[in-house]
Amino acid sequence: MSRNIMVVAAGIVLVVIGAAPAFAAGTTEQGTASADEQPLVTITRNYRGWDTTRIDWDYVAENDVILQHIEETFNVKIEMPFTAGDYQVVIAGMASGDIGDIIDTWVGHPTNPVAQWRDWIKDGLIVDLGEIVDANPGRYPVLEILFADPVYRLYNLKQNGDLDANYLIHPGWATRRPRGSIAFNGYLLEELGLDVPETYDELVHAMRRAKQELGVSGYGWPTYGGTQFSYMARHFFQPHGAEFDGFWTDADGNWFDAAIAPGNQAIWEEVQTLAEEGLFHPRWLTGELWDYMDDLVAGKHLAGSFKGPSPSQYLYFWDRFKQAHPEAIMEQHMPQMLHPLRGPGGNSTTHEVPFFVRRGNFIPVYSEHPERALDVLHYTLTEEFQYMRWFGVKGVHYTMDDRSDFDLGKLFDTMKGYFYMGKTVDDVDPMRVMYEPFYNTTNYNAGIVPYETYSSYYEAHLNYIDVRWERSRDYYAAQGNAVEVWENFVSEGWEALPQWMDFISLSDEAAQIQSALSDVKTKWFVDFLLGNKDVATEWDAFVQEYKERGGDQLLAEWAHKADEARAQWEAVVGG
Amino acid sequence: MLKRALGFNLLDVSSVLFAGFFAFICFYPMWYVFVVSITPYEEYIMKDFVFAPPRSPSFLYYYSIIVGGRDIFLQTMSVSFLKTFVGSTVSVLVTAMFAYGVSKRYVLGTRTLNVLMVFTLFFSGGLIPTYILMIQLRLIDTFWVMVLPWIVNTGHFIIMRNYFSYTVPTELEDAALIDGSSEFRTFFTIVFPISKAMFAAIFLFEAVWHWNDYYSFLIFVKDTSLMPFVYLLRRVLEYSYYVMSTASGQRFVEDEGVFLPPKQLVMTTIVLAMVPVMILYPFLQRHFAKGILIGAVKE
Repeated sequence: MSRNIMVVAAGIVLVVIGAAPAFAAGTTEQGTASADEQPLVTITRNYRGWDTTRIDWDYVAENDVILQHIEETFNVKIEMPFTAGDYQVVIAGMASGDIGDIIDTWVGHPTNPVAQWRDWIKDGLIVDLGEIVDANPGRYPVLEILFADPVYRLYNLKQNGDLDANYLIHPGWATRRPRGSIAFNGYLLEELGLDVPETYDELVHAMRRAKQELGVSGYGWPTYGGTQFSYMARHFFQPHGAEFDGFWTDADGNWFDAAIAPGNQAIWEEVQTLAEEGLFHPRWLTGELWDYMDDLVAGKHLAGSFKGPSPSQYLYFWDRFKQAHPEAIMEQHMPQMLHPLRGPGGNSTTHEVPFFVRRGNFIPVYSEHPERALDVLHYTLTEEFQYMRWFGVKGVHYTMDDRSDFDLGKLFDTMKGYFYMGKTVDDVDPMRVMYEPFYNTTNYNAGIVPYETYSSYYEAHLNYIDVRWERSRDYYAAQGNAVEVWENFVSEGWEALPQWMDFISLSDEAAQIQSALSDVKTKWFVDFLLGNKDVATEWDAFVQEYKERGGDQLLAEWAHKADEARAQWEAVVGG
Repeated sequence: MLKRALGFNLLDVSSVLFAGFFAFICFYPMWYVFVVSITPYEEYIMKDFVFAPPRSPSFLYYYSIIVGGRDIFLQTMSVSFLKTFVGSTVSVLVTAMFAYGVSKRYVLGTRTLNVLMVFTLFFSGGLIPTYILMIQLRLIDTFWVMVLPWIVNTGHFIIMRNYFSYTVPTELEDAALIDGSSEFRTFFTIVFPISKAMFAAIFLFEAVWHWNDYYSFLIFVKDTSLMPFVYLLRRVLEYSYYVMSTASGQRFVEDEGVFLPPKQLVMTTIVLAMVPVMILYPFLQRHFAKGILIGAVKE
């Protein structure tokens, strides 16, 4: 009997082993059939949380007019093979030569440190894009604009180690996107007889009454296990004219570390009092990301901070709210703040440099078609492509109406809610697509950067076009005040830092101190909020520990590096 | 005294309570996952403690995955089953034959082979050399890269070798050899039947490992048609975890407009990934308890 079983098992194994080469061969031949007619350009995008397995390729091949347009225009066949999102894949691929023609990467990310990237350049693994552009005058006009721009050259210096080392195309990420809206459970506000709070005092008043009269918590924010206080700080520090963290300059232009700024003690004392009263969502430390929003929907919590005023996240919560309250009216039952929260010290504000650079694209020397790859890459920087990415092909999928607004055609008819190219999105679809292959070359999700119009990398970023508004008009019409809220937050709650601040780069030693201090801050801030440490009596102990762990040294290094960055900016870009 | 009067004493009570509590904390996570997977969102958010089944169970996400996403579901499940069956069978077979041979001290070089095997327990070539090796073996982007490199598990090899060395009666093998049996025949017709408990335990370990393995796909395979089901699970879970747990995750949330998948979807995917392994257990259970101790004691 046993012998028979073994014979059968061995037979199955042999059959499977025999069939496997054919199985394997069949799978490895995919996508190369037309390689003779159309050079294959492979795009490898590497980013945790994003991978091309989300893409239904059959659907894309049939429906993605943008991909089809690019393939036809450049007579190439584009593939985006699966990369799991772990940087090991790129490292292994670079080491073995088994990698795509265009690779998207984040130089400076902990998994891809600058030193490693520069080693690749030094080892000759990266195509010198400057050489290709120089050898083909007129073929890559947008790259000619970029490569000549002084700010772009500074990013070359920052990432590649040389002002004129054009190994990486690094479009910036325009940041004129204020955050810090608060959504409320309108049913609870109605029960309390309150309007949507617009000031810090009104917010605290509403939180207190919700607790006292309804027994529900008042304010929640996503804390990611107590490591992210920026949401909370936006509403409890900034309205007092303070920052809870980071390096800032005082009236005399001297740098200070906000984490231990003397004025913050009084604010922390007040925040600690609010926490003791139970006004914050009880699972702010241990809960899942959107616990407070779920409780808000359930009527067990009054208000929650989210990334708004961008409509997308608000609408995500609204979908949930509507699911639980089918009769709800958006602006009445789940209202959000119409303005940044106002306080005695000013508004809640978003401070960022006008744009920053993190990611970029490069072509490895293993590429069999570097010039064709650069054709595609260059095209993604043109205004034609950038508009196409958002609105489809002009004249086919959209036209402009009398107000120069976008009159969108059939491309969007098939899209539901949030816009993903190539596939509709359904929350219950496990293959939810985030099909944004050129995400990195088109100013991320922020809109359109008109390089050609301004003939300048820097000016184009400062004057980027935020297509969200146009999209909002068409796709978020249900949220009647979406555009108004957005505009309010831009004009009242967004402040640009000098662009040169994006070039402040700490030494490895200082970065280690910064990391250690981050842990110190997290520990103390969590203890303050939990009431484990009394702010009034133990603030000095916090400051002392912070300084003992290198707080002063880090501040000095920051000030020094900031001076260097500013001087470098003035030398290369000018005043 | 108490035991004599009542038939049990405090020790019995506390033992039962402890065992019951222990059973509960083992059972509850699975129960939680299942209950959440069938609880409509509007009912789920109203619960402070999830235990009772929902008043109106919803199998929306089961339907979505199994029917709505049947192509990818069937494809990934097929890959997972094939990978698990082939990987476990070949692995047990090869490891057992190797261990059996090495367990024979009279065979020349077994000591060296043992040392070489144990060496791999502590040292490996690292990712890049392994990746290059897979390219040179033409295994990259094939089904076999998820099976062949992982055929011999050193831990299982040691268990099997000890079993063959110390538990299988050498008299039986000697008798078979005297009767003219070859080594192969002795192994398959004498040793295998009396080692079924050990084989069942190792097969179960291997099957669970192969079922849960997504790393080999993640690193060595670009062809999504070879994606195992657990990679789908990993993606759903990591998606949530990543967004929740890191600073860059925060930016990911804020700037890319990415939202967590519905909790019910996450839980449904977990349930579907658990079911096949849970089905396998009862079939091997009668061997398992016995087999799991095999090789643990050196006589």
